[in-house]
Order: sequence, then structure tokens, then C-alpha cells
Amino acid sequence: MKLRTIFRFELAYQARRVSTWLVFAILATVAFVFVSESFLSDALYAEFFLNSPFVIASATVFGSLLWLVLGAATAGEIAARDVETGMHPLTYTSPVSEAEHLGGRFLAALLLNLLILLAIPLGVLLAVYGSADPELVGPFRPAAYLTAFGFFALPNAFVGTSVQFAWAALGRRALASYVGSVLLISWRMGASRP
Amino acid sequence: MELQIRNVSKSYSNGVQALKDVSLTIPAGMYGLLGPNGAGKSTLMRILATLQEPDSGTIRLGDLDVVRQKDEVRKTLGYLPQEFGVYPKASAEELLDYFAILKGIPEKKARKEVVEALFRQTNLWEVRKQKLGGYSGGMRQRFGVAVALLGSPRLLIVDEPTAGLDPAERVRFLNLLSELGENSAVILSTHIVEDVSELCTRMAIIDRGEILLEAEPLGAIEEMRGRIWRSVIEKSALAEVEREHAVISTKMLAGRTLVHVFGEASPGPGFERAEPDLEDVYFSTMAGHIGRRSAQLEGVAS
Repeated sequence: MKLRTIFRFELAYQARRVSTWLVFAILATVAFVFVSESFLSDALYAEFFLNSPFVIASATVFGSLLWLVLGAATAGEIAARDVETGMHPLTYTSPVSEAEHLGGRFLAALLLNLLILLAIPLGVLLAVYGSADPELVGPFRPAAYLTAFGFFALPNAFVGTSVQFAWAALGRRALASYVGSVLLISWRMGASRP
Repeated sequence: MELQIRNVSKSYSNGVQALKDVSLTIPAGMYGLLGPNGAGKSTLMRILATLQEPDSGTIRLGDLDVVRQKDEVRKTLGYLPQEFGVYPKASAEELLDYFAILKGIPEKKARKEVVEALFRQTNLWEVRKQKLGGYSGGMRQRFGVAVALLGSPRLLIVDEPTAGLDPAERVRFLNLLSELGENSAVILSTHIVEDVSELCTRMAIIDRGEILLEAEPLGAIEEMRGRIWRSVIEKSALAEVEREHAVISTKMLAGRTLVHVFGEASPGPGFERAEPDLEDVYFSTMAGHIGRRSAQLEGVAS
């Protein structure tokens, strides 16, 4: 009951923040431009349908990476708001267990980030069916979107949110979530070097 | 519901000993904890509110161990911290309802009634739909009171509550507190003597982490009768009077200085017997004429 209450409160609270919607809008725009301008075809000197699974997956990977930096504020704000606003003496003396307190907040951050990441397939769909030359559009295959989201966006959101949340909660500052994201990216870059 | 504090000590990592072997028994009713800023009041309040743990000593609330059974204590605890913030983008109504669920009022209808009653009691009913970010200091303080009163706590801890309130708000707030004192143990920490003299049936004076006096305000005032002397002097004469007499307090009075002196017999001509009040009790205790500090001074002297 209390976990659900905390979860729902955080969702509603974040939905009121402009930055949440701003990140959503940016991701959708970037995905839209990424697909509609056929950057991939130009870069690789190859012809793809705009909605080929490869294009969708690439847009998702690129968008997720961008989210990791832009979207860090969401988990950070949720994890550190009590301390940053000074409300922690009130929340910490409520009869709520740590599992409920942190669990409700973390699950809210995770779901929010997944919803924000839905901006990517939305941007792709808008590019494919809104503005593109019909000759460049292949048949609609839902599996391409689901796979890209399930294999790239979902694990990225889980790992990213966890690291951002942990850094902000332990650092007691929302901005610490960015440090978590940057470390995650540099570690990833280091690992991908030959 | 009685709160028993036994031999509680607390030091911080910077070497400051905030509490030294504090023992108090706090029955139901209003209990005043009086002391200057930095005396250790807030540390004691935070320990009682389960936010900190003492280095040693025990605290029991009825059958509960406050240090070990934090969750059980929190179910029956109301805490108004000295300083606190709120979520700026939430409305008062939304946040109070949220806290009501956390405090264990799951049923919607019951919660609605409790929330409404508290908003009316704290005079926030008209502004309950406003965002807390737009609340003034006094309104936020009253919102904190509403949160602290949720679920009719049996132990209510209020830390320096009147510091940021205007005179009208202060009166309203103190009235609210005394209503609660009828059923619960209410601990009021303050550096304002009037807060205690107007409200509390029992009190303790704390300084530098030590309890100097535990008393009933009226009884303590009565014991001072005949031992407090007053004189109105020129400011220039103050140094001399302070050298010769046990001055406990000075106050400006129409451009001259009113001194209160502690003494078993009249300090001399120019002094008259003063009607003692709680301020005299407080300053006599702090100066070491009565209470634990006077016992310590005598111990050193002998």
C-alpha cells in the first residue's frame, strides 16, 4: 500500500516538471530527424528502407545514449528531492520502511524513464509515416520496434536508472546522477576500445 | 504514555559533546525544554524523533524502546523539526493526504475527514489547493504542524516552533499545542522563556548538553520568592553592580538599566524585592545559583 502510494505520488509529481516533457520532446525530435534525414544511408553509402529494423535499432541506440545524459535529472530528482528540499526530517520519521521508501521511488523513476524512452519509437513512426517519401518506406513490422525497445532501450533504462538513482541517493544531490551517467558512458567507451 | 530518558550521551565526530548523561522523565502533558541556542536541544529532539541514535543510554516510550523499535515508535510519533522544507510543486492537500497514507490511514473516507479537520485546525483550509512552493514561512510552519498531528500521535516533539511565527500565529499555535497536551506527551523545545511559562506543566533547563534543572514552572517560581532583588540603575553603574552582586539579568527600561540580583538577603539599599518569574528561574539556573550547576560549583568550592 505505502509502496504503491509513493510510486504513484512520484509519477504524478514528475509529470508536472517541464524538464520531464522537455527530454521527451528532444528524444522524439532527434529520432525523427535521425530517420527522416536518412543519416544512416548517407553515412554508410547504402540504401535502407527508413523503417528497416537496422535503422530503428540504430535510432534507439543513439537515442538511449542521449537519454543517459539528458534524462539523468529524473532519477536524480526523485532520489535526492527529500534531502534537497529539506523535507527529509518529515519523511524519514514516517513509519515507512527503507524498502518502501527507496523501492517506490526507484520503480517510479524506472517507469518514467521507460515512458520517456518511448519518445524514440514515436519519433521514428512520425518520420516514417509523417513526412517520408513512400518509396523509402517498407512494410510495417511491429517486431522491429519491439525488439529495438526490448533489447536496447529497456536494459539501458534499467542500468542507467539504477546508477543515476544510486549516485543521487548516496550523494544526497540530484546532480550526482549526472556523474553516474558520465561514469557509465566513459566506462562503456573504455570497454568498447579494441 | 510516559517517556523515560536514561543516561543518554551523544558526541559528534568533530569532538563536540552535544549531550552528557541526560536523564528525564516526561509524562503526558506539555513539557518544556528550555535552553540557549546550541545547548543540545535539537540533538535530543532528533534522537527522540528516531533520526539519530545516542552513543549510550536508553529511551523508553511506554513499552517501546525508542532506539531499537524505531518503526513502532514512528507510528505514534509526531515531529515538527526546527527547520524543514516541502516539495514545492505539490499542493498542500495532496502532500498531507500522502503523509496520511504513510502514517497509516489507508481508508479514503477516514483520511479525507482527518485531512479536512487538520486544515481547519491549522487555518490552512482556504489555501489547501495552493502549491507549497508559494507558501509563506508561517504557512509552511502550520503545514508542518498538520503533518505532525496526523494520526493523533501519543508523542509529539516540537523543536523551536515559534521562532518564525508572528505574534498572532504564535498564540494560535500555542493554543493548538496545549489542546494536544491533554492526551499526549508533548515536548516543546525552545529558547523563549514565555513559551514555557505560558504552557508547560513541567520543564527542564539544558545547557552545554547537561540538564541543569528539572522542575514544575510554578513551583520553581515559588521557590525563588524572596531571593530575587531588583534595582533600576544608570547604565554607567552597571559594571560596579555586577562586580559587587550576583546579577542574573539586565534589561533596558526607559533608557535606564533594570538589574535582577540573586541573593538570600537584601543586597543593600537601592534594591527592592522583585516578584519572581520563570525568567529569573532560568537565569539563576544558568548562572549557577540554583540547580545542578550550583551543586557542581559547591562541590568544586569544598
